Amino acid sequence: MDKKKVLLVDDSVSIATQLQKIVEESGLFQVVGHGKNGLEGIKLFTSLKPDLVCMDLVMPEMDGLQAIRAIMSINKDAKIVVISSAAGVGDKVMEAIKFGAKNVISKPFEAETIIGILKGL
Amino acid sequence: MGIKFIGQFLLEKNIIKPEQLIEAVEYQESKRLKFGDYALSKGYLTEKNIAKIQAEQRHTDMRFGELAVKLNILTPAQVDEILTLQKNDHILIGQALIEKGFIRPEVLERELALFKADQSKFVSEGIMVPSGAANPDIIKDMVDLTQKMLLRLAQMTIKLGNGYISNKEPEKNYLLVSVYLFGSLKYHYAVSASLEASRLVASKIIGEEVKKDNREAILDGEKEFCNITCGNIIAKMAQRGKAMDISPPMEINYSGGGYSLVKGGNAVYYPMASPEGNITLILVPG
Repeated sequence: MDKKKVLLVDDSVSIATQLQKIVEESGLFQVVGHGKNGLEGIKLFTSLKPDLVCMDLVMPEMDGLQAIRAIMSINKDAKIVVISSAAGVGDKVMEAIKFGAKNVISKPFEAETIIGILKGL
Repeated sequence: MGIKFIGQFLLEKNIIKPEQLIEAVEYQESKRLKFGDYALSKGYLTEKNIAKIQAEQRHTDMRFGELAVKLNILTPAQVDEILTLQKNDHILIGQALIEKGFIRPEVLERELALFKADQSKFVSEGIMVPSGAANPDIIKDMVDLTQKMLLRLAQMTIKLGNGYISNKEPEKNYLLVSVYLFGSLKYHYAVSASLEASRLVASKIIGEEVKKDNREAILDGEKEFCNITCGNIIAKMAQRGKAMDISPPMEINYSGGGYSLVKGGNAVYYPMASPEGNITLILVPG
């Protein structure tokens, strides 16, 4: 079975490294790119055409909410999961899912939560 | 694992779907009477009063009730009474999910118990706030969440020193990282950390040992620690009814013989000691 392609968008290299380990160790996914802000995320989404996107919210240059909106306008079937420290703020969660995010995971996260949600998409 | 609201808790557990959460929140809002409607039903306002307040609202950021007091249409006591009525009549998100048929009552009851147990870990206790510091409850939350995230993310058990107020800049240290929290309240949340403490935090976040000379990775890990902690702080503030947001973390550089963080203001300092190295939490209002 082909592995699903995952794009990570997070300004933290530490978190991207940790996420890459988690998703690739499951044997189901392959990380194909890492954008360090929303703008890079949009560019990589267009060029790499990933199956899934893990998106942070608080980032420099362009934040995650703006990036989700842009990506959904490029491909309305994009599968974006928000992984953010601000996921406990109701307004942010509502905005993210209104823009089209499929789920919202809070940081710090558990590996099984990430894999469970990505597998379900 | 962090501070959540029940809607996101259920979403993350795949118990509800995102579109169901949106629909339930819209339903919840549709059931909510506006401030003016309550005041009208109590006979405190007329339609004419409401029109006047609404017209005035176009020129100010003040809320309906505040403006009604300013215009001498309502008394502060009447505003409090209406806000209480509005709060009491507000249906909770769980109830909205049940009424929309998105969750069974017994499932909600079970999940609410799990949610409460999960969130009880985030209750601040036993933290002393120096006298004269504004917003003592908020400061307690910030200190408490910092301690808890150090334990959770870096397995660091720290000994919390006495908090104190100072207008001096922090002493030179390996790293000083700051996040700006803004909205209902404004604070610069900053963490000053030794090389060993920063390296430990970064190593735990990345999941592998970061070498002492890899300053870039250490800084990235320390920034992410501040980002996660501050994200959880604003979630806690949302539970307290304070709408706040955060900026991306940034390093404060030591230049010209000092840092420029406190800038003569009154910062609250909390020293945190651990066998792995020392950390100081600095909270600067404004």
